[in-house]
Amino acid sequence: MWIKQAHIVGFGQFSQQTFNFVQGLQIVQGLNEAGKTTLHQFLFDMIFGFPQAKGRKINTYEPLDKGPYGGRIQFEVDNQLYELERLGRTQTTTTLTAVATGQVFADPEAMLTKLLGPVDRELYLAIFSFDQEALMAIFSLKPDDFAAYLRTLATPGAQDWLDVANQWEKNATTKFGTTKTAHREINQSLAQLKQLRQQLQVTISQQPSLDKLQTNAQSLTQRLQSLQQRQTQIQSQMTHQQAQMHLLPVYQRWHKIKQQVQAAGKPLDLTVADEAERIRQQLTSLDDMMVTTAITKKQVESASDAIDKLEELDQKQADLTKQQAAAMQAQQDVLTKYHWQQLPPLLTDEQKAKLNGQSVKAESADNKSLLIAAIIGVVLLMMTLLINHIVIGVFMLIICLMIGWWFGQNKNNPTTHAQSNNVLPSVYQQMTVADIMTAQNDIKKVNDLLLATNQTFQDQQAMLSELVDVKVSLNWLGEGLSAKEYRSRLMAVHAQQETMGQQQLQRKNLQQTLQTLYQKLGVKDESALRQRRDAQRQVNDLHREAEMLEEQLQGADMHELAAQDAVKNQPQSTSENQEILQRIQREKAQVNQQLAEINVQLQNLRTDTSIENQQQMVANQVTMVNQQLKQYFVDRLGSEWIRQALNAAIIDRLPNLLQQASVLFARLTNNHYQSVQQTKTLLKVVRNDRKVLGVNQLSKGTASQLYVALRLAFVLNVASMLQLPLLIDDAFVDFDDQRRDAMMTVLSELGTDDQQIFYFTGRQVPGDNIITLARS
Amino acid sequence: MKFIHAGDLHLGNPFGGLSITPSWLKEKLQSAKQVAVHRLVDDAIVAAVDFVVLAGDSFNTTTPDARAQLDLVNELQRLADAKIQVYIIFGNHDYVNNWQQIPTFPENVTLFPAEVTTHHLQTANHETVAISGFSYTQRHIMTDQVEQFPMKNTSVDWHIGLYHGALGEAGVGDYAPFSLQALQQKHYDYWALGHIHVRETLQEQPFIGYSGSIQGLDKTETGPKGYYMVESHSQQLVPTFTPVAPITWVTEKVQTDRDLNMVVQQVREQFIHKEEFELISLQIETDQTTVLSAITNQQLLAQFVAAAQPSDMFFIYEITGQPKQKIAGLPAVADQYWSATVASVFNLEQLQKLGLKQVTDGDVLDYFLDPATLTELESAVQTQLQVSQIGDEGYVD
Repeated sequence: MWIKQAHIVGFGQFSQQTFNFVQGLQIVQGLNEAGKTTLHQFLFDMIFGFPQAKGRKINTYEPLDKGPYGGRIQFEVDNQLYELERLGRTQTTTTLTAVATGQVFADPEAMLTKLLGPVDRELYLAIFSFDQEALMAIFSLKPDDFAAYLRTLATPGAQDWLDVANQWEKNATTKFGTTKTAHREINQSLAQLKQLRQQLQVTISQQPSLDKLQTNAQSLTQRLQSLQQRQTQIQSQMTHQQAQMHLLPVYQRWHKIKQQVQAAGKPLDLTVADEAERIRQQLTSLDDMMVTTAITKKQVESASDAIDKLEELDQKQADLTKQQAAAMQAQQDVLTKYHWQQLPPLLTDEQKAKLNGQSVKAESADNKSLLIAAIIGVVLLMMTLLINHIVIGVFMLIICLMIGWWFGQNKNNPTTHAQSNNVLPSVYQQMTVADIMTAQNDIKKVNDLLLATNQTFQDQQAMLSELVDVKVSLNWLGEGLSAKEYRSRLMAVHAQQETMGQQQLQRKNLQQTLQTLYQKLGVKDESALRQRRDAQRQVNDLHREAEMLEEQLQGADMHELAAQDAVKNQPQSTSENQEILQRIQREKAQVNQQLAEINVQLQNLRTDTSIENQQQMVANQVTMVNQQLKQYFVDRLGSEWIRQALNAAIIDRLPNLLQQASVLFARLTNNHYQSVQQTKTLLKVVRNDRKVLGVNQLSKGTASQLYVALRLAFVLNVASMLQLPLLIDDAFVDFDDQRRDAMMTVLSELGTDDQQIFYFTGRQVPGDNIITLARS
Repeated sequence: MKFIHAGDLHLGNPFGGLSITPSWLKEKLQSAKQVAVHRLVDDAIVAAVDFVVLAGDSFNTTTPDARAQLDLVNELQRLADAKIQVYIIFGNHDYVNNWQQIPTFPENVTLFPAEVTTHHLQTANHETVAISGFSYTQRHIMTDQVEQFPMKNTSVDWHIGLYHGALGEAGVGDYAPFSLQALQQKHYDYWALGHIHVRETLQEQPFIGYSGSIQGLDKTETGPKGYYMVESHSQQLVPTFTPVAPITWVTEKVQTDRDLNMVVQQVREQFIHKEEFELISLQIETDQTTVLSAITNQQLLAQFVAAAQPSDMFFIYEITGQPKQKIAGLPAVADQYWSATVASVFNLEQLQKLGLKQVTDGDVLDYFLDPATLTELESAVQTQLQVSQIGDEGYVD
């Protein structure tokens, strides 16, 4: 770069002033306050911009006339002429124009930067622009920093890059502390990552494991199924039981009936029973038909005998009656014959004698009363017989006869007396003695007859009791019947007896059959059979009822009913079941709840993305840490790389630089020093006596000369890359004349067509291109 | 005969590499693998496949989230309802620690034990199939398991091998290392491999290969993901890839000159017409230093996240910035100095020294101990240097 011209509009003491500069060494002379430093500063500020901040230590070179601030310069880079105008200190209007084309650059600063290459204000100050004060910096530099500063000088832009490196490193270290207690960004991120991982672990450990959930769910489902089964079972059992409960009375009734039926034993064989009944009826009808005579055969026989006797007695009676009748007839005949009223008694032998037969009459009277009594007695007897009081009859007959007999005796007595008194009965009085005598025979005959009759009568009397006995014995056949009648009755009885015998035989047969049947039926007799039948009927009724009940019980478990019947505490078992059911229900509810919980857990698992979330958060955090660490490492490694690369470059370039610096330093010190060397951290110089000295061992002047030598060596070193004007402001005050001359010589040599050098000095120096500033 | 070969469902695995996930995205992410499996089951039912094989790592860990298990159990139940058999082996991720703790799978599911076991079935077309496989019961299997497999059963129509592992040398690999030659020598009709998440064919016919993961789990698993629908054609079993993953990881490059305020809008407009949901790693090329610095300090990503809508069919999960202008080399010093020092800067010791030793988190360590991360770091540093070189002083300060 060649600054050809500078026009100051207003800057410090300058106002509307123009300077033209040559290429090569441009000396600007002037006394103090002539404006050397102002011009120096103007040129510098024009290139790098006006100072923005104001301060006690910063001279901003405000125009003294308070006029407009700024100015313009024309400079040439690569044979291109540019005009740069900066107006206004704070809100500077900067215009950069390519003079040849008139092109005004939109971004003048950027263009400037481009034109200046890698050199910025600081680097420029570090190398190209210096005064005495700047040279003194060589002392104020710490030995450790000196190498770095040297590096800055040795490599264009190195300081920037070192700054960058420092910045990066600073940047990095603020983010990541390498101590364990550091709490910087990355440390925190790492801690957070650790924490997130721990949280994730906790979450994972809290998450139910699927296999366990599955197993649990499975076992719970099974449990539920079994519970349900059991519930259904119990419910159906209960329903069953309830049905059973309803059926139980039915069953109980049925069971009772069955028992009764069973107790009733073998059912009655009805055909047999009917047969028995038929036979019994036959027997009954037989009994109805049968003459129920109690008359025995013996009775009949004795009756037959009695009848025989009766007939005999009757015969005898009849004979007697006939005899009596004959006697009566004979008497009647006698009476008729003798016209007697009454048969006179038979004359006694005396009377016979007296008369020869005159007296029988009394006797007949006697007989007569007896006969009447007999008749009356017989009549009574007959009457009693008729009324079946044969004994009474017989008794009365006897009484009658007794009375009759007694009456007859009484009559006879008086008659006899009378006869004794009336010697001849009156009846004979009219009769001849013959007659009397004949009559006597007759009378006697009659009397004999009468006597005989009387005798038979007595016999008859004797027979009569026998007859009564016979008749009494025959009374059962009937009273007062004739023998014939008796016989016929007896015949009938006999016939009856015959029939009865037959019937009895039949009956006996029937009864035998009946008994057999009864035996068969297991009954004793008809009433038993009837009872049995009744019982059977009842049983049949029960059977029917049982059938009906069985119909009701159809399908019911009889054994169970029987068991239930046997167990008395039915309701309790129901309540037990209820309890079990409730328990099952409760457990079911529990299991269901557990299942629901598991399902919820599973459902939650399906939707619960917390672990994935956390995993992703961990992954994100890892990425975050990686990115941060990566940036950290980029910064640190970049920083390291810059240093190492710069070092490497310096190590390479330094011999060259140091060689040039050595030459310059030797010249500037008039060969008092031979060379400049560098150890790792320190610059060393070698005096011509070969003594190696540190910078701090040098005099102020010599140190300044070393610094200048280094700077110039650097300028030479980079001359091929960049040529920027050197601005040197009274830097050599500490130089002795000899060395100042050497210095000037060096500058003159250095100032070439490629290198513009501004040397501002208060001294008079010889030279070609001198601008002299006058104190205003 | 028709069957589905899938593997590496990694149920329960979060999506890696995302730092900010709005809740609507979280839902999408959480359901993604589920959706993928659901689609697989839908397809299986519609296509009336004879069976489904899952070649291991159905779950992300040996103690998976119960929800993940429940999801799979439910999906398998759907297959059971459709009378589709399922053959499952367990891989290095879901290796069986305790067979007792395996959830109860539907009856159609056959789980393979640790020893190589062969199951037989008959297809709807009365073809006979033998399926041989084994499950992991430990995280690592150092030995080649192929030799345990029987030779092809010639009495069956098809013999299929189920193998979870990686190509490798016995004793060197951790995941049942096997050689292709060993598989070939079994003369199976199909080797359904699992473990490698990227679809990979080791041999065309008879097929030996990985179906890949069913859903990309991080940004390394880009592109469509799904399963193989395998059908018999003449004497061969031919797999056809069927994508089912509802979320695809992609990398999108965008060039822009817009300033920070406009970039978000501009980029979003470009992605508005996505059909299947995409997780986008956005690479922005720009010279806007504000944009580049907003990328570096995650500000731009935050803006994209803030602008994201639940109805979006994309989500930008990371942004890398590249300056558009190609700066040849790195600043300040010659390239040789940069490259000369790379090795001494980008190494593990350096990382340890700078603070990695402080880190105890396995996943984080895994990431930084991965050599690829060092490469990534190097390129990021380069980008950052170049961005600085462009001269955003505001950024540098």
